[in-house]
Formats: sequence, C-alpha cells, structure tokens
Amino acid sequence: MRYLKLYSTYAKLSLMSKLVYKVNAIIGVIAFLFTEATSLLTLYILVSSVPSIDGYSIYHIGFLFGLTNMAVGIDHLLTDRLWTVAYFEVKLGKLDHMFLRPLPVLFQVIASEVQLEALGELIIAAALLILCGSQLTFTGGVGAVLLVILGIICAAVIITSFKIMVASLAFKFKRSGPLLQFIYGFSGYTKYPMKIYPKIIQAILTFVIPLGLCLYYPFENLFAPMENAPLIALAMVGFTAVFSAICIFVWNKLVKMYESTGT
Amino acid sequence: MKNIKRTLKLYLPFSKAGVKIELAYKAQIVMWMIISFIEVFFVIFLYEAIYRNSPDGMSSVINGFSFYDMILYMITSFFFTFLMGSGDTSYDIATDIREGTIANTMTKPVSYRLRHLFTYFGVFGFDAVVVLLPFLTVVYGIFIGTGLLQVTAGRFILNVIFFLLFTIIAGFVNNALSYFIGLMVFYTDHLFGLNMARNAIQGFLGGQMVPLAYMGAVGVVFSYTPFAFMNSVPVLTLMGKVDVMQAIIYILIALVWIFVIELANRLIFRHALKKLTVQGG
Repeated sequence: MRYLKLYSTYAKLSLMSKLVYKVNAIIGVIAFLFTEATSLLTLYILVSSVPSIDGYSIYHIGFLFGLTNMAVGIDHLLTDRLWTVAYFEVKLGKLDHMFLRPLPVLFQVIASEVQLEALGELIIAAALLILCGSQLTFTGGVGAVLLVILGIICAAVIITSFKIMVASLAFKFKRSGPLLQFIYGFSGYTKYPMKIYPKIIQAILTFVIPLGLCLYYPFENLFAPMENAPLIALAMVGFTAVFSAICIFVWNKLVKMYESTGT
Repeated sequence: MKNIKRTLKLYLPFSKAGVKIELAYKAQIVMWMIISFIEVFFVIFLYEAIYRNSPDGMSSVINGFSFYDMILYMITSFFFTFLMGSGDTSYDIATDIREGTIANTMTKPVSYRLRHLFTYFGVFGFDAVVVLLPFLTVVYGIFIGTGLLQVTAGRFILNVIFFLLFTIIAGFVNNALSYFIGLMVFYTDHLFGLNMARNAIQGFLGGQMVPLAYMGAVGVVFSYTPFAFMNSVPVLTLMGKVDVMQAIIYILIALVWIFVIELANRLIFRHALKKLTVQGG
C-alpha cells in the first residue's frame, strides 16, 4: 500500500515535469505514432499483395500486431527510464541520490518516469485491436479473451524483466544500452505469426524469449480454441513469475556494484 | 581553383576528425549492424511466406521483384541504411546549442555549415569504403556468380558508376536533412523525438523495408522525394532497375532537392541566430 502511494506521487511528479514542456511531449507522441503507423503501413502493403499468409488474413495479422504493440506500449509507458540507466546514468554517476533514499533503487527508477510517448504505440494498438477485431470471427469464448489479456500482461512483464536484467549489467560494465537494444528488438518479431518462421526460431520465441508463448498462442486460441489452454495460461504465469524473480535478483546483486563518479 | 584549394585545406582536417570519431565507436557500429541484420533476416522470412502464398509460389514475380530480387533488395538496402546512419550531425548541432558552444564557433573563421558537412563526409567516406563497398562487392559477386542476378558486364559497370554517384548525392541529402533537424533544436530540444519521426518517414518513403514499386502510383510520387534518394534510388540503380534516362532525371531532381533544403537551412539558421541566448559563465 505504501509503495502504491509512493508510486502515484512519483508518477504525478513525472507527468507534471513532462507537461511543463508540452511541445516536447507532443513531438514524442507524434514521433511514436509515425513510427508505428509506418511500420503498420509497411506490413499492410506487404501482406495485401497476397490473399492470405499461411491462412492468416490481413485482419489476423493486424490484430496480432495490435496485441504485440499493446504489451510493448505498456512496458514503454511504465518503465522507460531503464533505457537511460543502461545507456547513460550509471556511466555518468547520475543515480547517487537514489542510493541515499530509504527505498529500493529499482522502484525509484521505474516509478520516476511515466513515458507519455508510449501513448503513440498504445493508440495504434487499440485502434488495430478494434478495427481488425471487428472484421474477424472469434470462436473462443470469454476464457479465450481472458487468456489474451493475461498474455499481454505477462508479455509486458517479460519485456520489463529483460530490460531490468540487461540494464543492471551497466552497474558492472558501465553501459549496457546496445545489448538492451538487441534483446528488446525481439519483441518486434512477434508481430508476425510464428508459423512463418523456421522451427528453431519458433522454439526460441516460445521457450527462450517467450513472447510468442504469451502473445501468439492466446491469439491462436481466439480462433481455434485449444484443449491445453489452461496449461498455456499456467506456463505463461509460471515462466513470467520465475523469470521476473531471477531478473530482480540479478539487479539486486549488481546494483551493489554502482560507483559514483569522482569530482 | 585557388578558392577550392583554400577551402579544402581549411576543411579537410574536419573530415579527418570525422574518421577518427568513427574509429572510436567500432563496437557500437558492429552491434548496430548485428541488430539491423537480424531485423532484415526476420523480414526475409515474411517475404518468403508472401511469395510461398502467392499464386505462382516461390517463382512469382510481385511488382517486378522475384523472391531473389527481394533478398538482394533487402540486403543492399540494409547496407545503404547503415551508411545513412553514419555521422549524426543533428546531435552535434544539438550539443552546440544546449551547451552554448555554438557561440565559440561563431567567432572562428570557418563556416558552421561547411564544418559539419566536411566532418560528416569524413565519417561517411570511411563507412562507405570500409563497410558498404566491400560487403556489396561480396554480395553482388555471389548473386552474379550464381546467376541469381543476370546482367551484362557493360551494364553492370554503368550501374556501379551511377550507384556511386547516387551514393555521394545521398550523402549530401542526408547531411542537409540532419543539419535541418539539428537546427530545429533552436526551437524545441526534443531531438530524440524529431530524429525518431524523421527515421520513420525516411524508412517508409525511402523504401527500406518494402520497395516503392509495391505502393503503385503513390510509390512513383514517393520516388521523387528526398528520402528516396537516401535508399530506394541508389539501391534500385545498383540492381539494374533504373535505366540511364531515368537515372539522369533522378540526378537533376536530387540536385534541386539539395538546393532547396540547403536554402531552407540557411534561412532557418539566420532566423535562429537572432533568438539565440547563451548564458555567460
């Protein structure tokens, strides 16, 4: 409860400081809107050149794109400061003040930035889910919808967990931004149906970086209900819980290696 | 002639500095290339699925591109995009403005614009010679050697000459746009957002992930925008998909764009300097 109160205070401060520079905030949102819109247009142009891809229509692919973007957008909205930790803040010794407060550093890093730019991603994601969803026939019931919602949450937590773990490497190596960029890139590959990839990539996206497990299988379950859907839900939650615990453990170990810069 | 010699003597040290800057970030360049190449790799799977699902299967020709044309287009486009990412003039200008060091540069007997242009071409030339040309030589050697790209020796030499010319033009267009974005920091300091929007537009209108031929009549219009000269036009030229007459028209249009953007940059720079405030120390 105390952390919830603190989080809302931090979030309010972050929003207030961002809204002081309204033009910057608008440019940020528009920039992400452009990025997502052009990425979507590219996909549309490609996919519309054939009637369907392995049985998926343009609406299926648009819907999956929306699901992925929703998970990526949630992570972007809530945990964006991990990027600056990985790229600059450890190297420049800018986290000193966080070590002086009686609060976990990870909590402060996450709570101190609400990234409004993510609204660009979330708007596109919501529009796609509504527009493409209205053109599709869902055979899965309420359970299938709940599995999709659970999948989005788990995928967002997994992306954040990867970010926490890779950003924490900066405490040892001073800078881990490029590696974070590399790992983060995998979140984009679940925009396309996994069937189009070779088996080895499907396995990586299911078991190693399980964004496919959290987004693709619940997506499939909406159209062709799977008997083992409860098992998939269990696997998603189990993996997410264990993986995020490991990532936080790694952060807590490495954060002790933080060194302030000299004068 | 004397003026050109004097200019080169004055500004070439900036190009040399650009090469040294690029050499200092070798690991970052390699990491960026790995990330981008994986992305291209995944898009190739998407293309493979598209061709597999088209009426004639893998032997289909979609919008003038066979499957192997698409692979060649994606790989050439990947290396060209890498080259267009060289030397971030907008970041250097933003740093000058934020830290107030732009005031120092005003007192020096060198042109602010030419200083950035020459620094950029140092980085650009280095990346073109060390990365772009060797890799493309290997890729085209494989495609021509295996018969996947069928072209006569004479025509290929002509393609290469036009490609080199378009590469230099792309450098000028790219730097003029980076300078333009950098100058925007006089009015808003959200450089990250500006560059992000620019990259999104440039990637789409420049046909980085999908050739402009896929966009029909709209694609033809896009092929005359400055962004097309930073990817689509040079890539298609090297692949032999642009005839000589069209190439000459493209060169003339590109020159007009460079003139227009540079003129806009000059006007904006003059306007911005009037409102520049640098705090004293």
